[in-house]
Amino acid sequence: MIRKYISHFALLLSALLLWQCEPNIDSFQPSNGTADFSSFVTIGDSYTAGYTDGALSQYGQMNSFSAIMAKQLMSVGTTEFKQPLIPEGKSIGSAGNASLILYETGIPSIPVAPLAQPGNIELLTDPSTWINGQYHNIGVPGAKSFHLLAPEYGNPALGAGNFNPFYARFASQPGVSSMLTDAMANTPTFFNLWLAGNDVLSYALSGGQGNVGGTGTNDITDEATFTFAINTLLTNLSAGGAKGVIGNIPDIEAIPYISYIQYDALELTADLAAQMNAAYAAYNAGAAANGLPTMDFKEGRNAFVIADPTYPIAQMRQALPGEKILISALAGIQSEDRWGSATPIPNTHTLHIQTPPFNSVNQVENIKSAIVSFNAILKAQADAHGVAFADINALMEDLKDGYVIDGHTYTTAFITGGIFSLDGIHSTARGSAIIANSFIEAINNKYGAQVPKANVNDYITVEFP
Amino acid sequence: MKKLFIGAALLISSLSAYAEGYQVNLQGNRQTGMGHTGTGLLMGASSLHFNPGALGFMESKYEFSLGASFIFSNNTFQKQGPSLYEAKSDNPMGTPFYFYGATKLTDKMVFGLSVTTPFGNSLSWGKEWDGRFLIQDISLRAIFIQPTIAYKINDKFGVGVGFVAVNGDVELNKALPLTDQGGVEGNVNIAGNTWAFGFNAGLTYKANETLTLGLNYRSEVMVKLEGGDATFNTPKSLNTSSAFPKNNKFDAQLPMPYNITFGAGFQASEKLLLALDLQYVGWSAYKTLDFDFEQNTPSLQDSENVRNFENTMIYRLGAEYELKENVQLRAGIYYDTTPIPEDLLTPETPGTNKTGISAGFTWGITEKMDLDGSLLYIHGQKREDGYAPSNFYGTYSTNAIIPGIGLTYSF
Repeated sequence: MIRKYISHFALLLSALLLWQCEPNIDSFQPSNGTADFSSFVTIGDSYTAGYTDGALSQYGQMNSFSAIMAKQLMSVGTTEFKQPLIPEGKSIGSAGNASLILYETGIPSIPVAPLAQPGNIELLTDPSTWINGQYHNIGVPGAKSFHLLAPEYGNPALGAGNFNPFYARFASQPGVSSMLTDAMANTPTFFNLWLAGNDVLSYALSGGQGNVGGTGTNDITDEATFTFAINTLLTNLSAGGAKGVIGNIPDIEAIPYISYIQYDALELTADLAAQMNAAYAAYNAGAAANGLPTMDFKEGRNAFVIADPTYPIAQMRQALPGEKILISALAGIQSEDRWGSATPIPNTHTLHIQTPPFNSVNQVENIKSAIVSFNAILKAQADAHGVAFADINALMEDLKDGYVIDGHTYTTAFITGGIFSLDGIHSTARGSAIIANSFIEAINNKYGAQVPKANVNDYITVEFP
Repeated sequence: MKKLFIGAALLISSLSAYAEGYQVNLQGNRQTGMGHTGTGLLMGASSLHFNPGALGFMESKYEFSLGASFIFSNNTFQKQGPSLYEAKSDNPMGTPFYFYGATKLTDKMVFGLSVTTPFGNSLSWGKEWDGRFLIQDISLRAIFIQPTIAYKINDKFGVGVGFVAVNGDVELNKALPLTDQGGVEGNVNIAGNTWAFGFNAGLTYKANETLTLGLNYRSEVMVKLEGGDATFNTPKSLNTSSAFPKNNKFDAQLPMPYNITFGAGFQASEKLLLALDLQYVGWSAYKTLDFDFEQNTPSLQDSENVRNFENTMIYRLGAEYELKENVQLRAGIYYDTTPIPEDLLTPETPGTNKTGISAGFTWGITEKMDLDGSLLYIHGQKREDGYAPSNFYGTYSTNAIIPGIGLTYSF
């Protein structure tokens, strides 16, 4: 009798043990919604290509936002994403440099700084290293909107400086194919088009050394050309019924290369301030005589001294709030020449606003108003062609103020922010994952799809020595 | 009886949402077998924890009881969609234990000493998992040492009070989002051990031959840790006094909340004992988890983490059936509501409303020696929630199987 009870009891216990030893998970089910992702192409600039830390490398290509998107799209039908990969361990930047790395400076106030070594220039100059063929990632560092339509853009016969070797190295037929025709060769069912801003950024990065409304290297593209290019690209890409997503242009305030160095980040001791005031006594006498501001230095933070060719007094003045000092000036500021104090920062490393006596060009305003116009055009074109629209400008705005993702707060700060790589312009792998997720969100909203987002923490950020 | 039992179970499961923080209610195999009831029962030496007021009614001159439970717990996490990410914890086996020793000083006065582990947490999500910047693993254990005096005022009333000395021990690991040039991610290890104090008081009222009521108050114990070790492992260029000093110290405090428990025991028949406990837990003491570092730098500020736990109620029912003079079988059920509010659910304590189903037995091996066994299954409701300050959301599931074994020796 007792034995029977005990055996019943034992049975009950073992049933309990077997019943759900592990909690059930209802796994997430990806779906493609109304879009067909089987042939996915990306077309764009350095971001699309995977340019990071000031160079193109296989590591950057594998961790570009476009490669991360492709990886996520594999669960909803994408079968292949072929990239024009740089050989492992090699890298090449637009200045002939290799990927930047951080090194320890030994200077307590600046413990780490990016360092550029010479890169594998042969990847651009020696056609025997080129890998011309058919690829799914048609991202070319430096590309502006109208370049995507032009076969000349990859034509080595035009001679060095007149074509873009970053495209020529992988174009299916250099000088014959265009980025658009190479993209179309994949008969895409889904495309990603993101021109993150070379149409305006080239002007900004040159210190405003170009025209507003032109097609030169440092010009801000004119609106008609930009509109025509975007319209032509979207018309062609979606001609076969393909769907897609486009992104807009981030504000320059979010880009560390432009916004990192504050106009008044000149730190002076009392002694140095006194020396500066003495050194600029003659300048101040001239300024006062002309009714223009004098340069007065004090202990602590001061506005940098910048070159301004339009300025009547010694073609220099102190920077004003709203003016930009580019990261390219950093080495000069830290050098013995003491840019910004002993010698003015050359105007190729600054962006000016307009100041009395109002001869100068308001470069900052030119950039900001161009971004607003281009973004309005991009939105209108996305709507007209019925493609999804990813507001990367808004994303960067959020990131600027500190954005918490999965346990960490990201900012757009240089080196430490986590989003931007050591060049201060392009994203880290983790930044790319965050951008990819913005595109995925836009796709899911537009096409009723359930594309899984990338796991941001799976990707790495700036590496410290 | 059966009908009543099922009715009560339905009532409980229809009560709406709340879990159990880092409290571990496994302080006796006999009680665990009955849904961890016991405040209104006369359970001999183990009353030291459940209700010192009942200790005065101890029948034998000496009684000793010791035992342990073995917690096999599983936590799963599924990231908020759209995402394919899923994770499963690899928790080390938790081993809460108890020791009770009591002796009658006089006919009415009993002295006892207990050593229990009513709070703890043992959870490991792994070094690489997606929530590693919130937590990688945590091990928390509090040992309560409680000398107690109990007095039987008359045949109806008993009171008891114990002084509680707590040894708290904590170790946790978090990843830091700083990677070196070999791809190794940074990490901080937080560890410390300290003492804190409280009390445990209880009152028992034997209303009649069949009904016993009990009221127990276990005070809050605020465990304040001063000068714990915070060891930062970061890339070399940052492991400096101006960024992340390697061997830092910290101060922090963690409350072990008060518990007020009302219990009733009802001898339904000669063979059947029923028990009910209502346990109210003062979790609202846990407002924030703050780490005050000895050395602060621009990169390393003190860390303040909102918790804002809420007071909770645990509803418990249990039954004991005397199969034979030396064999008792037990069963119980409880419903434990979570103290963790919406948007403040962390993976370090992924609490949810939990249902516990238990069974147990006592086998009198000899006149003086009993073998006690219990088995508890805890099922946590699936909870889709997260920790807003870290923007980390997903669906947490949890369950546990907890066998326990112990011995009681009385003479």
